[in-house]
Amino acid sequence: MRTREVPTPSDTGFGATETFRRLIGRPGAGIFLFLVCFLPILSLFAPQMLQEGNLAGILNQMVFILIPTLGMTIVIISGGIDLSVGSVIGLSGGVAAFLLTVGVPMPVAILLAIISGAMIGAINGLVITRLKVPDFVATLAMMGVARGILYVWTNGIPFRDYMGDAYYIIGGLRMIVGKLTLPVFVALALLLILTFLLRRTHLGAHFRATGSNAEAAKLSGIRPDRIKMLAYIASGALAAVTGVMLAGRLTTVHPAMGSGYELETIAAAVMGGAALSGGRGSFWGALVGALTLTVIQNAINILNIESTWENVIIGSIILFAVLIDRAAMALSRGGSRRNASN
Amino acid sequence: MNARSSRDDDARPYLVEVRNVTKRFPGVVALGNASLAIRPGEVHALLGENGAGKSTLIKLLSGVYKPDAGTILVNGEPRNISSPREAQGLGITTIYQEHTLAADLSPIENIFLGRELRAGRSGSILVNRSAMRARAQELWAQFGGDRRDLSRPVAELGGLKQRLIEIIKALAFEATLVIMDEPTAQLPDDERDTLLSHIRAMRDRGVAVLLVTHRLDELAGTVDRVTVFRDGQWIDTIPMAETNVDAIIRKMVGRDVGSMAAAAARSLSQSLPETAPEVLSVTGLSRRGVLNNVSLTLRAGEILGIGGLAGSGRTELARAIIGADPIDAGEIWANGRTISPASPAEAVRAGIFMVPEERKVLGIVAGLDVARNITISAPGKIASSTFVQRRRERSVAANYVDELRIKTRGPAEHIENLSGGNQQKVLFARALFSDPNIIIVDEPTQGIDVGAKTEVYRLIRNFVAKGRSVIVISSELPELLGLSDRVMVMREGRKAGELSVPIGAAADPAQMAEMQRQVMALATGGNVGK
Repeated sequence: MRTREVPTPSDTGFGATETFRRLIGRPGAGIFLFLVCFLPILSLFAPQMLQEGNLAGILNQMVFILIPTLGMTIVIISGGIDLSVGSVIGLSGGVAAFLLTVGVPMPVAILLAIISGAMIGAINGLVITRLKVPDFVATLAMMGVARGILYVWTNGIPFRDYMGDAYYIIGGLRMIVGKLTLPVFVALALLLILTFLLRRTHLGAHFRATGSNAEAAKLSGIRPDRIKMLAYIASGALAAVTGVMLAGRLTTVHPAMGSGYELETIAAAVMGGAALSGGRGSFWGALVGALTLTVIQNAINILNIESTWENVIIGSIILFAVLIDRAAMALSRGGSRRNASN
Repeated sequence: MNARSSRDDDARPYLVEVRNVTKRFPGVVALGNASLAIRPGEVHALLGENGAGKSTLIKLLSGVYKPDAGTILVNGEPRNISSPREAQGLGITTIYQEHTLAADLSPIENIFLGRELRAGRSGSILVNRSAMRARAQELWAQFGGDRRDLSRPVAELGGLKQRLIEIIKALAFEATLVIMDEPTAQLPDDERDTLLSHIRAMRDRGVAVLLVTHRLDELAGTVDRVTVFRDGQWIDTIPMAETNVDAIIRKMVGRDVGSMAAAAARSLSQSLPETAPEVLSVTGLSRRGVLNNVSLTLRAGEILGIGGLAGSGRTELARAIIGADPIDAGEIWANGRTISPASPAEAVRAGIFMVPEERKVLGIVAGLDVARNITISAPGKIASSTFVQRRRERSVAANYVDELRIKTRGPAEHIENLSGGNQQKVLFARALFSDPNIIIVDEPTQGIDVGAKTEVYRLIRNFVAKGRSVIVISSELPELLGLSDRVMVMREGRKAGELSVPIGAAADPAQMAEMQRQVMALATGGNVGK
């Protein structure tokens, strides 16, 4: 969604260096290069990583992080942060599961679950824009409230017995094309639709302007509050889509379902070059971030590294990824950055 | 020089006219009965000292403020401009001093932000990127820009290009009047000349420009007419061809400058002894792009004023002296030894304390009470071993409250509840509490009322009466000249010159006016030697 695209024919005349500079400056480019170099090295130690089955497995697993990361990326680009993502995943999964157990038709159950996620996003947006509560605090509170509701509602006992045949497909437990599952195609569709919306309509520039300089956005006739509302609604709805599918993948909805996703999605978005200061980030970066995170988890499994080390390794790599991204950006701006921003 | 005579288009109606407009803020009349008339396609300069009402007038024209009384006419029709959007609809676009571009967006996105060109029929949700690119390239080419600049983030472009992008943003929507608030501030000389030539080119294409500037040396050759404001009042509008910088400065400064200076002035008896030792000596202080080889000396019991325009390096000089910013070259000698403070805390230990400008941002610690705000820089003096002693802190603070006549219900009052003037006194108490022998005050009376100003002057006087020294940075010339023994003027990071203020000068309006004129001339680079 950045405008620093590969030059179109009308832009011919940029040298190879210039093209490289533009590409390397795109969000997530640094971590992408890292991944490309890292994967072959890793496969020397664990050849089974590159087997078709494992690669498909990585994809099938990755999309559960990717979808909420798309929402998180929109929020971060527009200058916010959404800590309620994990709780929305849990609660919307609960809504879908509950409705199915009481006999509501599946399409309706799924639609209502997604609407519930969008509504939670709308409440986040209202609290932030109307009541002027800082994004971090508002969504932290929502994280607690939504999670708490799920605990009260389930009374601590997971929802179960809602899995029909179709739900095995939705949850990605059955492969539909080759070794790939439905969630992979859902994620791909969402990625394409969102990219189209942000690149081909005014929305992309408005999200980034809001996050980059809300005052400038306002003076240009944009309503930053509306844009932020939209971002949180999108984040809530995308988390809910994830929740519906995760309910299928796990076959029961435990009241703790989805906890921890908020931090993983933030990590993936940031690894993909989203700047927490707002204004910068991309969906393709989100894809690279989610992929990197999943590949690392996969490698840790395959290499039989003690799971106690997992957090240490992932944490270090997140830090490393952000430093790489910053270095890539500096490299990109290199000569052209003169007298830069004040 | 442009062949256009200033008189030949008098018959044309005014593009924008401000008639007898008044704007009040609590406690201040920012504009009183002010007028301004701009012709189509002229470069009109709006001039005046700080507080003359220029910014207020700009904000009225761009729909940020509404006038309390008076009319604004656009193309001869009275208009109610109630939002920036509406002003833009009338063809008036304002380029503010603070950049109003989104740094992460490309120039193209910035130019069309909120007004994207649509693909196909109007009402389409899709934007027409190639049309926007083409239109931006066309305009950018007129300014001689490289089209590669158009697709990288604005943050990567330099100051001049950012200004030009803002101009294009205005032109893309058929602005007939572009208001520019100090567009050349912070631009190096060559880029400034380029920008001015673009402004002239805009005029030649029929766009009017209202230029607010402090740099009077850029008027000749660019500006068609000049309007001078002083203290919120219209003073004069003159064709540039019929005047000169010297005359303009006189109009900006006015004659009635005695009262402020007198309030700030020392009494005749307190002259500085010839033998007073030097307490501070700065030589060759440089910081790349900010300060260029600046030297100064300060003697015991002396008040040194530092004048100059905003952005001329006054504050930066002070910050370099106290170690708040790193320096590239230079020596600082204070109280008998060479110092190289790496932080303000070290400067405090060397006996130098700075009271910063922008009280609310850099000075007071909101959320704490008066007492803690006073003692915060030197907690050691009220602590027993490690812990701050609350009771001792309160009693120390109570002494300062009495001594400096700080109006507060007591040391436990929250600092936010105090008026600006009293907050300033608390900051002064904080400085005194560290027991320095040099205090640097930056814009000490910014935004406080006249009574409180007099009190602040008294504090500064009392401090030097004990043989200690003060450096005063101020944009208010009467204050600067009234307080100081000597005034050093900064321009573009260099020392532009120095004046010594004779005893009793403050009481002589003619002498004050002349000295103000000299300071302004040094600060603006205006050629007024005679």
